[in-house]
Amino acid sequence: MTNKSAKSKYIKSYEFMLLCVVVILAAVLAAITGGKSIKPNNIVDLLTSYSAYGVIAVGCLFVIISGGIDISFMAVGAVAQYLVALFMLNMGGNFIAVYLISAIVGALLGFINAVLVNRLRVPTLIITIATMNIIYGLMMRLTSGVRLHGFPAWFAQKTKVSLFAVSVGTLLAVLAAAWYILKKTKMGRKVYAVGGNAEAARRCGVSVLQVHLFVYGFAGATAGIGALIKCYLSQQASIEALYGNEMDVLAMVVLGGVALSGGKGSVSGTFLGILLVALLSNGMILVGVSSYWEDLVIGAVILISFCVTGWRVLASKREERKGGAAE
Amino acid sequence: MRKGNSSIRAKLNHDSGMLIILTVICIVFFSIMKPAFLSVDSFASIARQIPEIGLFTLSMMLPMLVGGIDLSIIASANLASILMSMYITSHIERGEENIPAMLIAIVICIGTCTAVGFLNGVIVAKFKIPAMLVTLGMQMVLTGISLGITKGGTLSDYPESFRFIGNGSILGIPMQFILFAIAAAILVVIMQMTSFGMRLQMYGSNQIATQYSGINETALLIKTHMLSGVYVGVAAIIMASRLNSASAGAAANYLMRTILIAVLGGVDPNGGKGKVSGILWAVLLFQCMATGLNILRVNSYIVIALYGVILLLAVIVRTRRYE
Repeated sequence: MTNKSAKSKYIKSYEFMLLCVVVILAAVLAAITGGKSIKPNNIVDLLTSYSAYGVIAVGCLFVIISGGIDISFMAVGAVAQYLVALFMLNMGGNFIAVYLISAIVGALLGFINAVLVNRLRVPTLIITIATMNIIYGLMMRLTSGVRLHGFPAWFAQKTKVSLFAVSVGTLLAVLAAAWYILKKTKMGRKVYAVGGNAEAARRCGVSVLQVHLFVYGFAGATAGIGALIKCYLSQQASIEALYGNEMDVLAMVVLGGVALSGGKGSVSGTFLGILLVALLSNGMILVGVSSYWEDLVIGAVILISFCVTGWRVLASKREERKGGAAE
Repeated sequence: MRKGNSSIRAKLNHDSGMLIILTVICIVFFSIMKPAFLSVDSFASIARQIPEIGLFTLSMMLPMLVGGIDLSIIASANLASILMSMYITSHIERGEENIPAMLIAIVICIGTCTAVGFLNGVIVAKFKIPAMLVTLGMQMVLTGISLGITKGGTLSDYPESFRFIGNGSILGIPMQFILFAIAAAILVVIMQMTSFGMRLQMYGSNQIATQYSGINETALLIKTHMLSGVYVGVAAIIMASRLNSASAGAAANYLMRTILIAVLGGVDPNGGKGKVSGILWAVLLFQCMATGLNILRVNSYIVIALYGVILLLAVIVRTRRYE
């Protein structure tokens, strides 16, 4: 019985709807391209090229579940990327070291956001716009916009395995870790609690500061790792490579069904959101639509998803009210 | 600059008075650093730049008053000026004047922005989606349309009479400044003397109380976003006229500045508080500072970082006051 109701609940959920959209879109693309688009190679390529943004999107998901938003992640990632690149050029190192450094640098910058968000009672958007501008402005001044390249051989040589491990492998690992944290740990529940009602969570004994530190630190760490992946794929580090692409990441999270009422959102939804954005962009290229229209299509899909979700919430509320009256 | 910042913390609490004092400090500081700052030229450039950023800030203020934000204003202005340019270039031959066609073009521009505001308002009010997310999506859609139409290029060349709006002057006062003064005065009247203005401010200060008082929340939010759109449209006309061109990526750095000025001018980002007069003084302060930094040839990236610092400081000072 409970199993059945869980199943029917899933069918009504936003994630299921999204899954249908993704499957239909993939099928349409496959039909148009004569099956080329769903060959394993193409799918791996697609995931590879979206793995960096996907990793960053997972961090963003945490922030949005906790009831905030982070615009500064690209600037944070850029700092981590640049420092890691400097480290590799001057000291060498290995994969473990660069992963750690980029995650730690990102997390430290995330902590700054967390403290500001915790202390100031203003929308997090405004705070992170401020920190984004500070970080970006200072970094551009310090680096004069110079691009770094010519990394050591262990980082520069891409084999099929290492390419897969660094891009798709990292994305899957981060997704799994995020799923575990949100579903199985106390901290995960606290993140939802703060997002649902911060005041209530505080009165239940949740340290909101602790949650903010975790959430923005995690977002910073994923931004650092995402930036590292981007650096690996393009074999260069520059402050401007990431800056200005905030919307591409936010689109993935928002399409994943997050933040529409606060305290909600799931890793599976975000994963589908990543797939949807990747399929849309890839599909437009395959169909031959000019890339100038890409923003329009993704933006329109976002707005439509808002309307559909909002309408469903309204409809379910209306039903509840009816049900209540009947009782 | 350091002088200005340290006194922000101590004195900003008295609102407009403090903004004026900060502006004076700013002017004195820049004139000491570089006497060239105290010239007719620099003040003329301040007067020419205030209207655009001021109108954009007013259109940012309105949604902020109801606890929202509008991230689509710049994209909306760019799309509107592109549509306006298309109409002008297709209906007015180069070198000719055609006042009726120009008026239609202006109506197209303001109409587009108002329609965008209407759409934003409907999605925000009907479906209860945070304004930030809606306008973020809207920004993508609008930029996408603009890019699709222009293919990344620039539309330019307007008739002389249209360029007068952003470059001409009457009795020595820049034309766009006159338009800005009229627009600001109208907004003051709307905010202070109409029931809509009163409801707008009430809604921002206590949404639940407003709902229980029987006010049509949906209509109020839609009207607020539409009014904001009208101001975006006027700003778009001035901007297109001054630059004599329209493109999808114009004025991209204005968005953060409008938020900065709005917060500096005393608009509470959580809604409810904010006055047109505060915005006017904050725009003056901001533009003096921007012009001064420009004259001092401060590195543009440092300026970006500095705006971030000022935004944070303003938020810190302001939030203390709201509590």
